[in-house]
Amino acid sequence: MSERDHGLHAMVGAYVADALDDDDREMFEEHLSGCESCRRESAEFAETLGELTWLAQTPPPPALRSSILAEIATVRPLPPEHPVEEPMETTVQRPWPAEVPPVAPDGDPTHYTSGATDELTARRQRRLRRAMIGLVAAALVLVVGLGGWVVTLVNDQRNQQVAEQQITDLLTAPDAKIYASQLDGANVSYVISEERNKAVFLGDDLQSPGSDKVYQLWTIQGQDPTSQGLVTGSGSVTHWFDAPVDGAQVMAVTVEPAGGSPSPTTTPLAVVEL
Amino acid sequence: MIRPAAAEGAGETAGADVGGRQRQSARLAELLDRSARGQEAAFADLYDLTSARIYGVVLKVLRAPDLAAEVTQEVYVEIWRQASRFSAERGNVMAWMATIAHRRAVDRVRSAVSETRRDTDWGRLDADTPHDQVWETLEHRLDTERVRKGMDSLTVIQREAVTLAYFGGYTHREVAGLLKLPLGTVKTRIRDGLIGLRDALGVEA
Repeated sequence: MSERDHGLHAMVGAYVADALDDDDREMFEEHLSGCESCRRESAEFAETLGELTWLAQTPPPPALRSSILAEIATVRPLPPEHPVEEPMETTVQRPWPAEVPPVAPDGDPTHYTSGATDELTARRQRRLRRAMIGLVAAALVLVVGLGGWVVTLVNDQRNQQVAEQQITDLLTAPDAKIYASQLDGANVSYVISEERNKAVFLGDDLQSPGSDKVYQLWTIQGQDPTSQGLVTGSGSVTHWFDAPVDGAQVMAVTVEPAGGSPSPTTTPLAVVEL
Repeated sequence: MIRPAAAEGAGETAGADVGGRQRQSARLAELLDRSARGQEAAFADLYDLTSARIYGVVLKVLRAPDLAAEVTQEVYVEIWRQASRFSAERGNVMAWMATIAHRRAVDRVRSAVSETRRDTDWGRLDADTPHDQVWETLEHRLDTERVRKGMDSLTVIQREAVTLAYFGGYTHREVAGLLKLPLGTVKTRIRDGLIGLRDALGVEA
């Protein structure tokens, strides 16, 4: 870690407490966009300061309540940033040949289990699992239809016959569902078929998570995360889930050290509940 | 909202408080969700559950009650407008609301232009209406006590640095000037202080 980076890491507290002036804030935000640990810490600090407001509580002037309620009655709430649609059964438009011979994705299912080696790891894993489950309980699952880009993605790969056939095969499964989400600003989708017991992760314009880091894919059943492998490459990426997906309740991605981790060690992203 | 984690969390640092906090957090999330759909009654409930803390933090920063009331009104209108934009991935509702409120209070403190517009004379109206007692419930007193203990667990300098930055609305450079400490030390103390408080409160993001 360079000295400059070290100085920037130390700013995270002042940043969350709104104690940076504009120049410092700009500099720190630039750092934050590429620093997973600062992002996690700033989220924790925001929660902490939310708790600190207990010490400030003061009854507001009673007239404020009616004044606010009168004003909001005249203000239209904004729509959600990411409207939600029903999961689309892929019985619609198929811009590819209907009779493509099914090609099974070659898979060597690797089933990682979460072997906690010490209490600290175990606690951290409990916390992460809890975060994942809490997120799923609360998160809006963004489910969109086939949409433009998956089709484009599939079309773009026409020269990669095998890849296309595999995806086509999955997309044409009677029970195939597509779940779209966001991963660090990139559009990503999961296509899953329980009948075929397979799923694929598609990323569009995916950025690298940083040097010595990798995106790792997970399914979760109950409390147990199963690694579905590492997502390598950037731009338009396709990654078949390593392990069977039957029983999976959640799909998610975490940023892990190069080589991956036996169980998630960072806040799950692109969380989708099945 | 179902949070299956509640029971598991109860065994850890923050003890039995976690269950209560998660219930409270789920309640606020539900009210915010209904507010996003334009339900004014839900927003009124959300206001009743949070206004003492939101107004309180704005008042801490601004000190002037009239100005604090005006800024609090802006904050709640913003929360109403943005309700659908709240993302559970970014934390709980109270933290989100407090972030909006604190940011706006600090912006007001730092803006060179001091707005003098007043729609209402809050002080005058104050005397006529009975106070809402919601912030004085037992549960709230316990929460206050818990956070106070957390603050007490910090070193004096950590506590002062966090307090001046958050409740004082001062920049870290200004805090360094006030405490007569090097900037690097103050940055570190604010961060250490928040880490200590986070751990004392068993906060998880």
